[in-house]
Amino acid sequence: MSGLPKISRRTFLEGAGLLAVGFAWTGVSEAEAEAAAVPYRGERITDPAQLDSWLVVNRKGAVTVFTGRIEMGTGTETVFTQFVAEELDITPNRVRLVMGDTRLTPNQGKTTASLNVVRGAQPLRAAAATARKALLALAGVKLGVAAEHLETGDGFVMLKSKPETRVSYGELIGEKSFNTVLELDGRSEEDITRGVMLKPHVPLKSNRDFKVLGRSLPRVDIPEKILGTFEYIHNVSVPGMVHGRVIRPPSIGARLLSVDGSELKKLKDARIVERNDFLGVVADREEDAIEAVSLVKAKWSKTEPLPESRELYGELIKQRVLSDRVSFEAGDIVAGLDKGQIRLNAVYDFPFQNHAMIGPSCAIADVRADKAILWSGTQWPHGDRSDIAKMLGLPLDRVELIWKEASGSYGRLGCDDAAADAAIMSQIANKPVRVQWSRADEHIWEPVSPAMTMLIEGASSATGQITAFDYVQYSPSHSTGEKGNHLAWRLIGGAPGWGRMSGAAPNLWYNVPAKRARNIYVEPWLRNIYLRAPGGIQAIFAYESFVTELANLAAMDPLEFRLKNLMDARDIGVLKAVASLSGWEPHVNRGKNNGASILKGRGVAMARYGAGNTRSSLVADIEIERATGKIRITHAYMAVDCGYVLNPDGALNQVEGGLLQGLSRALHEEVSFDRKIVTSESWADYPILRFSEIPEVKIEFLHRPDLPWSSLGEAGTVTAPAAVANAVFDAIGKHPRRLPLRADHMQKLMGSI
Amino acid sequence: VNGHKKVVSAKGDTPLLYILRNDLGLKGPKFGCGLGQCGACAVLRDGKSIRSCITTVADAEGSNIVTIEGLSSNPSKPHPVQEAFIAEQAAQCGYCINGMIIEAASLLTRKPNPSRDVIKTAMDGHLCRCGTYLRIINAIEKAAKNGKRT
Repeated sequence: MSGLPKISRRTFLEGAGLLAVGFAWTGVSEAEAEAAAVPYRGERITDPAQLDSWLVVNRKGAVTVFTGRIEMGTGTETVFTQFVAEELDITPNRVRLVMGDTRLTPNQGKTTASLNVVRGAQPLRAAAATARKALLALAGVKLGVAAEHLETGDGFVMLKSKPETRVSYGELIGEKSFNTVLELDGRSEEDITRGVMLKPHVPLKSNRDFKVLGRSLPRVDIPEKILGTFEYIHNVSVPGMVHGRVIRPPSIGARLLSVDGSELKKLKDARIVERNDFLGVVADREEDAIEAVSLVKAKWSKTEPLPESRELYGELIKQRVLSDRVSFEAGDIVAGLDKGQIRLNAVYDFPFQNHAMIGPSCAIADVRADKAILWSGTQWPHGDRSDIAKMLGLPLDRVELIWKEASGSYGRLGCDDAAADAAIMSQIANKPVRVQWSRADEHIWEPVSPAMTMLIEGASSATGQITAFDYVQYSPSHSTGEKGNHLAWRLIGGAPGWGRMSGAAPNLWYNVPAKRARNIYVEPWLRNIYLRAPGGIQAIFAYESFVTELANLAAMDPLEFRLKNLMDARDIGVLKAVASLSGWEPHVNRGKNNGASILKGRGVAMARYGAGNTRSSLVADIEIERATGKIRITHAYMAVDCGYVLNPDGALNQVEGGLLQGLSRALHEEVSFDRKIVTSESWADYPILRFSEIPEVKIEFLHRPDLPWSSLGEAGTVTAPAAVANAVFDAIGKHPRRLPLRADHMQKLMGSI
Repeated sequence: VNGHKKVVSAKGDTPLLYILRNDLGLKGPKFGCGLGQCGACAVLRDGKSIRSCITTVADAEGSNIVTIEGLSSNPSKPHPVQEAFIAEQAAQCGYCINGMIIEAASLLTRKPNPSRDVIKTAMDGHLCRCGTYLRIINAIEKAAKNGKRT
């Protein structure tokens, strides 16, 4: 990067001066920064069918964009900036985003990283193109020529024949309304939750015409994050705010029987906040709130709602079935099984996992008798606002939510439990309350990624053609923690519960004449919420382990076996790319008990997964120390085909991070519990991948300049567990069908070879 | 703290982190675990990286504390480690990055030219959920190289 980006921050006031919105930017002069501070007078509209809801151009031509989507550290803010700059023909440093503020931004549903570029950006792009067309028309009037003689560039409309005759966007529209109605593409609740779309009445640019997209615009949020000045939710401070801490039951579902707060007298200004089974403390100073937790003596009823952890997977298939759905089905399974000379039945198990945010949940609420304002790191600002309004018994229009970025959560903040905690505490304390969860609160009480057990029966011909693939998964839904199922709401009573069954098996990309996937959703033990590739990472671990096991039975190279069963050129392309990147040498499973102290293996896995069917493939090289069972991943080679690459360096950052997170989930991660409660309560009990464990990594993106872009948030992650497990299979000759691949598990597995 | 004498009134066993964040308004150091396990709260104490979540204010009294806000000696220019992190785009959510930068600055003071293995070992007590480790290593190598040039 040449030179130093200048960092500045402006805060400006809206309306009566009550509502402050902060902006951060980089690489712009003070004058440009000043120009970006759009003054808002009076109420902003947030109706998605109005162009003015999406963007405002000020007198100096700076553009402020309003989006209900949020940044989670994945680069959303940057790529959204690129989308708008591209369609509006303006330099990206003149575009600012306001994200996830229910007072100011249209409802764009839930921010799921996998849908951001495919769906979340769509209305911004359409709005920017519509605004550009409106600016051309305004310039036509001003310059007295027909719009077809005009073109746009760098924030100006100019004569095609005489570019020096030009008028700036600021002069044309500065601070005035477009007053343009847009047409929504779908208005159902499902459409809104997934993200509102606009009908593209104005043509959008095609890939080949992109000037801003397709380039590695540096992340707009990174400089402040590096300088330590970025305002995370954890840094928000509100006048009169007190510090709150939650006190949770010693077992799930326990009722609060009695509370003794007499010891609290030791602390100035500390008090108990209590409603039904919800218990917490507030204090003026944060350290006093922490100490107060240890001083409160509470009695709770005894409960034992969880299964024995060593019986987990057996219990999972015995749990009450809530729903049994087929997600894909083709051909005659029985006939397909009969046709294959090679048969395999296998069961794969994937554990409960934490989102494991580095910064535990935090939120602030200021709840008054007739209104409330919430500051939250939620991924679903409008959804959490609506749920918490209901919980508080306030009308929706009296509750607002201001999003501030939280610690990277990969789905955990689909429902922000801390915001509901803060709201109840503030309602009781009648003061603004900041709630900060402890590390143990987060590890024990976060809604986890549910455990899954997966049964596959399949067959292949002697020459390696898969003839049948019959898959059944058992797990709780991945979204039992949302839709008002906040922990706090459950504890005060009256939570509406949840309904959505999510985490279905993705379509199988292999060309198999008889295939089927059944998704059996069972009664949950713990609250669950999406974790990066929900349902996908689990199913793909099973699919890709099974395919390698079948290849082994057919005495074939696992990569060659896959190619034999693929039809789609992009699937084949991504697999061949990783073969070449890794220098793949065809081999049949080499695992053997040869007495070596270090056993080496290489595994491959691939996937077609996510919005727009992103393809990814991974080759992992591992070593296992026979004496300890410890796995070291030495190399990881990954190829990705996500269609058009919108921001190459941003895409690489996502895939690198996703890959390492996937390796972490494969090697280490498992929520442990006893009959009462989750027992993994810190990084000591729930390790994640560390610096000393990272392999050498090579990543290649396939060049697809003319294809549409597809999701990228999950591409790095989904193949990691299967590739590593397949490498273990190659090293020791026995497939570890259960994750995580911890040393003690590996020792047991090797003990039996 | 950051070159200035600061007087605060608090119980001696209060973790330094809360004094920095709540009393002195220095919110660069982050709360991550309160157990000294993750590194998000790191600050320099007399030039050495420490965990401010498990260091009491009484213990810190009289020492020279530098937070990420005061890391650069030149207020209009980031510290070379910060420059390298920006150049390498070495962050995703960025919550852990405070600790990464503090630890890296401390490392490069002790060992201006560390190998990748030395970097990995020095940084091993810092956790990143987003998996930004590769870029962080590259950024530290870059900062070391830049340091050698100047």
